[in-house]
Amino acid sequence: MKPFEYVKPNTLAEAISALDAGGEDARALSGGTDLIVQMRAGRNVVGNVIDVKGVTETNVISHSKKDGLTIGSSVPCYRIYNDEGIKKTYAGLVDSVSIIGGTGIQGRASLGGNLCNAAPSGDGIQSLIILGAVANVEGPNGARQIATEDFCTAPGQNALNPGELLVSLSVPEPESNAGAHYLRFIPRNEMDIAVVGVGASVVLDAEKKSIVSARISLASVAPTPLFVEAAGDALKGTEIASDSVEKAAIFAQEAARPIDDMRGTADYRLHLVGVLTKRALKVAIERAENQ
Amino acid sequence: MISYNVIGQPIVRSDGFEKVTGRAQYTGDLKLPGMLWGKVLRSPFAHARIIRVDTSRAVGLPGVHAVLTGDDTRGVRYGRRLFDVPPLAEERVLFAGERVAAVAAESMEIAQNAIDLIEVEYDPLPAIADPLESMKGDAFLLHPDVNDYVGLPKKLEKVSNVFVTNTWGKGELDTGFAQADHILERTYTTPLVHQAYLEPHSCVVFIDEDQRIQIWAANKAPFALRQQLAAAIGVDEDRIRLNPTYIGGDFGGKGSPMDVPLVYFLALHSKRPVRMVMDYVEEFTAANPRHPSVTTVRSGVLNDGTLTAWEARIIFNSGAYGGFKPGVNLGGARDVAGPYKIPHTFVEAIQVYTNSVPGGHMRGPGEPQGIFAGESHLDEIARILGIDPLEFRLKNLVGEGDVTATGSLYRDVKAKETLEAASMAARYGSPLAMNVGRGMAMGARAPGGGETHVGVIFQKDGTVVARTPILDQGTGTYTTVNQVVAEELGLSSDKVQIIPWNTDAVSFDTGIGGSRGTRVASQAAYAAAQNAKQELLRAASEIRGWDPSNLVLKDNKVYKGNTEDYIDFDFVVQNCGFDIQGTSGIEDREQLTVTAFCAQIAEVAVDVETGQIKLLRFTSAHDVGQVLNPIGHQGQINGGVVQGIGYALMEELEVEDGRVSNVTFGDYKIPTMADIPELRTVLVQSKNGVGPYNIKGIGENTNTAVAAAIANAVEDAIGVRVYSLPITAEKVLAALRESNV
Repeated sequence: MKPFEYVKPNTLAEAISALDAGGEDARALSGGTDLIVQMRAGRNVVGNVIDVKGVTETNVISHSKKDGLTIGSSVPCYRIYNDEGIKKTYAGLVDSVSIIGGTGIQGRASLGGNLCNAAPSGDGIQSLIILGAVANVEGPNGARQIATEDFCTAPGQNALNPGELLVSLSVPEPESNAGAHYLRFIPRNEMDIAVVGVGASVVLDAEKKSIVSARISLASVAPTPLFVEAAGDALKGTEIASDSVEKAAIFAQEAARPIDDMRGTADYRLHLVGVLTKRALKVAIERAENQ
Repeated sequence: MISYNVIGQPIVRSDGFEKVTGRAQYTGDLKLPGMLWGKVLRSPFAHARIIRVDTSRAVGLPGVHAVLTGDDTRGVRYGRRLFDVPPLAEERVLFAGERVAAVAAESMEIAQNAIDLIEVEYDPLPAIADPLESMKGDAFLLHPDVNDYVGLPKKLEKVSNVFVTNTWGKGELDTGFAQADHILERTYTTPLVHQAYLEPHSCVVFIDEDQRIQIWAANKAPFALRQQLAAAIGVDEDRIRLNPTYIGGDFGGKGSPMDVPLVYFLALHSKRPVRMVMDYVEEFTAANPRHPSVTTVRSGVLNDGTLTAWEARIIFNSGAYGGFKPGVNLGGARDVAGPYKIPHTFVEAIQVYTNSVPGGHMRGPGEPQGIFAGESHLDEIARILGIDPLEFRLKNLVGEGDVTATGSLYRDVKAKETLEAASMAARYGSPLAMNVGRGMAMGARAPGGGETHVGVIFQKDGTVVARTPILDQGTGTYTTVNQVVAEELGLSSDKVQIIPWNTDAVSFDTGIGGSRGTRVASQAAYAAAQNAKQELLRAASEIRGWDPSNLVLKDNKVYKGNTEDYIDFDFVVQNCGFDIQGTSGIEDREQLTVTAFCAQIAEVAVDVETGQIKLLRFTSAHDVGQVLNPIGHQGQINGGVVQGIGYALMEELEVEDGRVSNVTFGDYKIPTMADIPELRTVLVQSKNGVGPYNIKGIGENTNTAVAAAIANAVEDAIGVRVYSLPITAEKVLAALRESNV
């Protein structure tokens, strides 16, 4: 690992000022499960590491009917999946944070870091997208919000400007009769990277017969996590008993742009997108029905 | 059964406490005054001519004590038997990962910085990764001088990339095929896989004040390494001393000299002790993984299921060098024909040079490759004939007096009993859900032979020290020696301490491998303990004036015959006036007439939408002699099965453009606990074994048949067969689609 400067600010203002001073050469550190590995392997050369785990705002979990869920960017996965309120209301989020890495990784890795790392395979990112989550960002020029589906711009690249910090994530309170699910395909049974991942959320009507709205997001089939608006739209207003799930799966396959790599061929990935989209929707609908 | 006090008991590992407390010293832990770090620059090309190596900037870096290139080791070749590996490449590099230059410096960071400052100009050449391409007559030669290499078993009539061929068989193939009602020919492939031991290859070399070459190395055959190094660098063996150290896992892969010859040259040039530890990227790209193979089996069978002919050809991809296997070829290849009564057989195994990472030994060298092909093939024949695979095997398996397919005759043959025991435990034949299937496979392996020595020395505090030149690489040989010595001297195991010897102490030790540890070490420990016991009784008789022929050692006391008259043994040790000890040297290289059978049954569920296999249950039945330690024995079964599951379902070093592309444990998948199903073990007790306790081997048999059992279970579940390992979901789905066309 190349030598680097390390600072651990105690306030948000200090963190932003340190990030601003470091410019292009600075990176925020939370769990470090991506950043430190990349620095050790020489894949990410960072001159200034700003450890933001000491900043209060990045460690918050707050949840209310009115404001929905706010998760600080440094909150590790285990705090999310052990939170009773989140387990009850945001099952589609628990699906992904409980399968990132193994138990040891989940004790360090943060959902915010998963988003900032912007891997196309990022499991947590898919859950954020299907739940309509928003990234709360602060920087030298003030605060702004970025929709999570717009946050990742290329493999390993995100929408943050130099000096900006992802402070927290806001997930809206689900509507009534809503359900969500994330699942992935991996060659073994744990501690693996998605060959394909699919997240789906649905809102059903009062009779739980038709789909009011739906969101679908795909992992590992494009340079970034892929929000497939068309697949969700195809489900709007359709009955859950109809073949609309099959149609949505075809939209998802049409949107996917997978490549061949050591984890699987493009053809196989396209096939998996179809299978997993149907499976994700099925569970999301079941969860909505059981609301 | 004979009853024992220590043998057969679940004794805690004698090295366990040191290892779990972190006190055990591995090669990488060693610190010598003035020691330097060695680092290597490796070729990024699978095949290239080296135009120029400029080391001037590295030489000038403060803290750098030696920078070597192929010019500094020119002409040196080494290996385990075939000497074809250069410490540093000279004119050409033959695989991506080959050593081109090396540095010794005062810290790892300086060494790495120096490596980064070395400039190499390459002229990339066309590379051959595929052994089938490499075998063709017009292929370029990787080793034009192969006939001049030391250790080549047989000069080649025409120099080619195929450098060794072994054959086995009996009868007349033509006759066998002429008799057959059905003839089936299929081809099977297996991948390049890594042993995945925790400790990477590491060594320390120090040329001391007396010009002795002192070595610590993660190498389980120190006497062989001493011979190999002495021959390679042209010094007397007596000048070299291998010092004992713990080895952090082996699985067959820790028998090569690896970087020791190069580090010797770094120590020579820097005049300092030098340590080199491979990182895991280097392990994955440039150590000695299990050979990939391409195997074609052609069989003849009668309508009633009687096998008449079996022809198999295994092509092993040796990679760029052949030096990392002690037999030059892999003898386990013959197991492609298995423990079956087949009258007309011919098996051929060849090794082919290619521009890829050199292959080495891994747990049953050649057997997992051969057995995957052979046992997959048997199952397919049974299904074509409409005979249950269990019945089919029982019909063709050897019994007492039968000769195996490649001509071995064993006594006390438990092949059918072992398979039936597995079948019972797996509830073979009971109903299965949709897309769930069961498959079986068999293996057989006798423990290898060899030579070793043991010394047993009574201590004045009433304990005993056992000395051995064996380096325990994790399989529990020290615990075996401990238990034998404790048993024979009537002591509890905590009174016996193992202290390894260096290579100066005795004449030779074959080293651990081939499941020989228990066979050879238990005999040597037994003989040494008996000799020590006689010495103790003699000393007791001298002190008391008793008749030495009528003394009994029992409960830490020496009794006069069957009387109540005794003398405490520590009193004897303290007062006899000399050291009481016994030593033994055992050389047992006999080809055994007993073997150990293994029958395994996998139960799998297949997700037909994704092709994913879920292993539901696994049963492993073993034909055993006296189990020396049930914990260690079960550990070998569990570990072997898990390693076999990885080989079956997920492990593969993927090579793109001649380079290994999955170089971390994130990308090179091995099973985690979540991938391991319920494991049922059945032991079939045999009265016949080797040595004073009638033992058999268990270390390798456990992992050789797993992949075939799983492949066969997949076919049972969904009616399609995958002919290449690993059996990934994508391959299963492709096979399903093909079958639906």
